[in-house]
Formats: sequence, C-alpha cells, structure tokens
Amino acid sequence: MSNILEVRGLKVMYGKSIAIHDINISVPEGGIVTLIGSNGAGKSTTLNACLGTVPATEGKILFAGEDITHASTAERVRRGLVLAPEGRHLFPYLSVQKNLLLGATQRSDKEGIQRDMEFCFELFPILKDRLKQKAGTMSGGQQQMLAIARGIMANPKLLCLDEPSLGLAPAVIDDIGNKIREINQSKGTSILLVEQNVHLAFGAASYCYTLQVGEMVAEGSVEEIRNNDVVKKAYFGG
Amino acid sequence: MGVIPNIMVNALVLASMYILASLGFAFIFNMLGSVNLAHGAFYMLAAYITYYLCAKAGLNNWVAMLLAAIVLAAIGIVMERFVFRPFQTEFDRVVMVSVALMTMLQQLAVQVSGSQTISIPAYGNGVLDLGFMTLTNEKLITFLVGLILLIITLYIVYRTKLGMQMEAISQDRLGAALQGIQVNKVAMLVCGMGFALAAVAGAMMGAYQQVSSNMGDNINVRILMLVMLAGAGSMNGILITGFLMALLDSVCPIIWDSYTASAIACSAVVVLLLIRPKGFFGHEM
Ligand SMILES: Nc1ncnc2c1ncn2[C@@H]1O[C@H](COP(=O)(O)OP(=O)(O)OP(=O)(O)O)[C@@H](O)[C@H]1O
Ligand SMILES: [Mg+2]
Repeated sequence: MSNILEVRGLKVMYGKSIAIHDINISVPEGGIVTLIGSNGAGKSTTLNACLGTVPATEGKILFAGEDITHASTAERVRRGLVLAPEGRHLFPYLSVQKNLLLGATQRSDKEGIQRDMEFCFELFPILKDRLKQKAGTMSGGQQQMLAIARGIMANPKLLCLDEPSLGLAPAVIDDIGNKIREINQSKGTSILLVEQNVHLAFGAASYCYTLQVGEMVAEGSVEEIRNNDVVKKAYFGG
Repeated sequence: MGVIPNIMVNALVLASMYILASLGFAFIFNMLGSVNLAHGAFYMLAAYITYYLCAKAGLNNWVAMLLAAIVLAAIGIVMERFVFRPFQTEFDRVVMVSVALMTMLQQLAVQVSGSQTISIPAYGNGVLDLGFMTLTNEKLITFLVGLILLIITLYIVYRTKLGMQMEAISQDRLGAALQGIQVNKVAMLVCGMGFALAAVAGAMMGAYQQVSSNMGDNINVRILMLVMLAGAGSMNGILITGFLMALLDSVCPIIWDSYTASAIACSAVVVLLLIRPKGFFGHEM
C-alpha cells in the first residue's frame, strides 16, 4: 500500500531552539495514524510543518508521492492536505454555515460541496440545527465538531486533527473518536490524529508514533505501543 | 426655505466621499491590523496627481482621475508588500512608517504647489432644478460616483468569495490560511482596491472643494473618527458614522466659522467615543 503522507528527517527550529528533529512519519492511504506525546513534545510543530505554517529547517515532506516541502499552505490544502488546528481557529463572528463554506473556499465543484455539507450534517446533526448561529457562541464541543466539519469541507485526502479532545468532557471525547472512524470509513479519508488523550488515540488509530521532547521515541501498531515500556511509564503510571 | 434639503444634500455628498476614503483604511485596519496613518496623505497625493495631469498634461479630468487611481492602487500594493506585511505584528512600526510617509508627502505637496489655491476642473457643470430645490450637477455627480463605488464595494464584501475570505482573514488569520486562503494575495488585492478608492475620493474632493497640502489631514481625522466610531470589523457601521460625520460637517459651518465648526464636530465624536469606547456597530456575539 502506498503512503499518502511521508515525513522524512523533519527538523524544525524556532529561532535557535530545536523543537523537533529527525522525525519520520508515514500515513498509509486510507489509514488512521496517531501521534501522541506530552505537552511541548512537538506534536503541533510537526503538523504545522506539514501544512507549511512553520518552515521545515531540514527534511522532506511527501504528499501523495510528491515533494511538497516548499509548497505554500494554500497549495497543500488544494492537494488535499488539511488541518483542523489546535485551538480550532474558527471564524467566531461568522455563522456555522459560512465557516463550513470557508472550508471549501478553494473548491468550485458545487455538487461535491453540497454532498460534503450533507455528510457533515449526518455526522454532526447539531451543525444543521445551528446553521445560522455564530461559531463563537457555540459550546466547546460543538466548536470542535465544527472545526472537524470545516476540515471535511475541503475534501481532504488526509485530514490532520490536532488535539480534538482538548477541553471536552469524557462522553464527548468518546463520541469524537467514533466520528473520526466514521469519516475514515465513509469517505476513505486518511487521518493523522495528534492527541494527548491516549484512550481516544488508541481507540481510533491502528498505528501510533510517540514523541518526547522533540524526538520520536517509539512507533508501532497500537497494540505494540500499548505494551511499550516507555509509553506505559509516561501515560499509565508504570 | 430649502435649508434642510440643502443640508441633507451636502451631507450626502460629503458622506459618500468620506466613506469612500475610509474603506481602504478600514479594510487594512480590520484585516491586517495595521493603522495606516498615511491614508489621508495618499488621498491628497491622488488629488495632486489628478490636478497636474489636468493642468499640465491637459488630460480630461476623468482620465486623470482614473490614472491617479491606478497609480495609487500600485502604491497600495507596494505598501502591503513592504510595510503592512513585514510589520504585521508591530503596531508601532506601521505607525512610524506611515507618519514618516505622511510628513514626506505633505512637504512634497507644499514644495510643488506652494500656498496657492488650486482645484481640479469640475466633473459637472450647471444646475438641476428639482422644483422644491436646485442641485448642482457637480454635487449630483460626486455623490453618484461615491454611491456606485460604494455599492460595488459592498457587493464584493458581502456577496463574493473574496469578501468572505477578507472577513475570514480579519477574524482569524491562521484559520484563514489553513482553509487554503492565500492571505497575502487577498491582502494585496484589498490594499490596491482600498488605495484606489481613496484616490477617487481625493480626485473628486479636489474638484468639489480644493487641492491643498492639508486636505490629507482633514480627511485623516474624519477617517479615524468614523472608523473608530463604527467599531472594529463593522462595514455597515461605517456607512452610518460616515453620514453622521458628514452631517456634522454640513451643519456646524452654518452656525460657526469653519475652524470652530471643525473643532465642534470633532468634539462631538470624542464625546460619542467616550460613551461607547468600542464604537457603535462593532462585532457582537
Ligand atoms: N511559535 C513558537 N515559537 C517558539 N517556540 C515554540 C513555538 N511554538 C512551539 N514552540 C516550542 O516548541 C516546542 C514544541 O511545541 P508544540 O506546540 O509543538 O508542542 P505540542 O506537542 O503540540 O504540545 P501541546 O500538547 O501542549 O500542544 C515547545 O517547547 C514549544 O515551547
Ligand atoms: Mg500542540
């Protein structure tokens, strides 16, 4: 099977400090891969470098077999690499509907946009009920759903999600996990899920990478990682 | 007889020009977070360009205005690339650069025209008799130009993809970039457009009133006030505060001499701002 995303030897520096280095990640086409790690490990930095919102100091990023290391963010999105960022970054004073349409801002296939909109409503019915509500007045959980839905509206080949569980109640987190699998299964969208919540990460993904202060310390199938000593120590208290 | 209708007509003509001059400033302020204090100076520059193209090159005033708008659009694009973009997060730098530019342009204006009173040939002659009042064609044309450009701008802002992208950028720049919006390209377009609109306003006002080295200051005060009074992110607000400002500027000179009138109009705005520090029509949830 070919990989939709391949990150090779990625290094990112903020000024003189190294945030991540020698990072290698592969996301197989149609797969769900998770990247876990504690605060400041460099998870967001990795995703941001994939989208080109922070520059890669070293290394290569291949998307659908093509080198996109130097492509603009807009170009990456157009090719189908999309990120629902940490903190959501919704447009707070715009309606739910306009937020969704902005997700599709680079597309011109009206029917496809309509179909994806319907899919988002099936996935998150609350969005349909709140179509005219301003995004900023929605609850945290609803905003997270909107952020994911806005990502779907770009018709991604790979949807990257940066800590979708952040600030949500346990019941809502379980729901988000189900939705992520549903997106993957119904639309065949590959997913790269960044999480601190290992319960969500392991529930949704089949393969896992583990970051620790800018370095990749473990990778493997979710089963392997679950039993990995390093990870156990970090996440399950021994 | 006819005082009230006359005041309203004058206010509408002025309002259309104030609003036209303010749009670019407001876009740049809302979208890029830059306070372009040189906006009024560029408006003045456009008036001078139009004047000299008419007086020295013998061009038709409409053609001259169009050329001035094109030149100013180009300047707007350059300003975006070399001032607003690199100094994005540095408020003080943009203020510094724009004040320097403003001073420079003003000095230049004094150098080339001295203190003589000059004005661009009128865009319309004759009067229109409406029965209950008469209206100069110049006023009518000035107002119509303002109105048409305003309608086009509002259409772009509210009905096109570009407008929605502008809105997205002003609400969350990173969020906008992540949707694939080419933030720099949109910013460039909007700066070009905003400067061109200010240029048209300058070229019209240079005929309706006169071309002078302090016309930039006069409009700058109005732009700042009406944009602040409207509140951040408000387009509709600008239409209302623009009219309000123009109304003050049309009524006060009837009662007081022009300096006192200007001071009183400005004081009224300051009082309104004290009542509503965030303006009247800004973002509300
Ligand atoms: N814009 C920035 N400028 C300077 N340093 C940064 C910047 N962004 C992140 N860093 C640093 O890079 C390191 C990795 O940060 P990053 O945000 O990628 O971590 P993370 O794994 O996403 O953490 P969290 O789970 O808290 O979101 C941290 O030490 C952080 O302080
Ligand atoms: Mg993070």
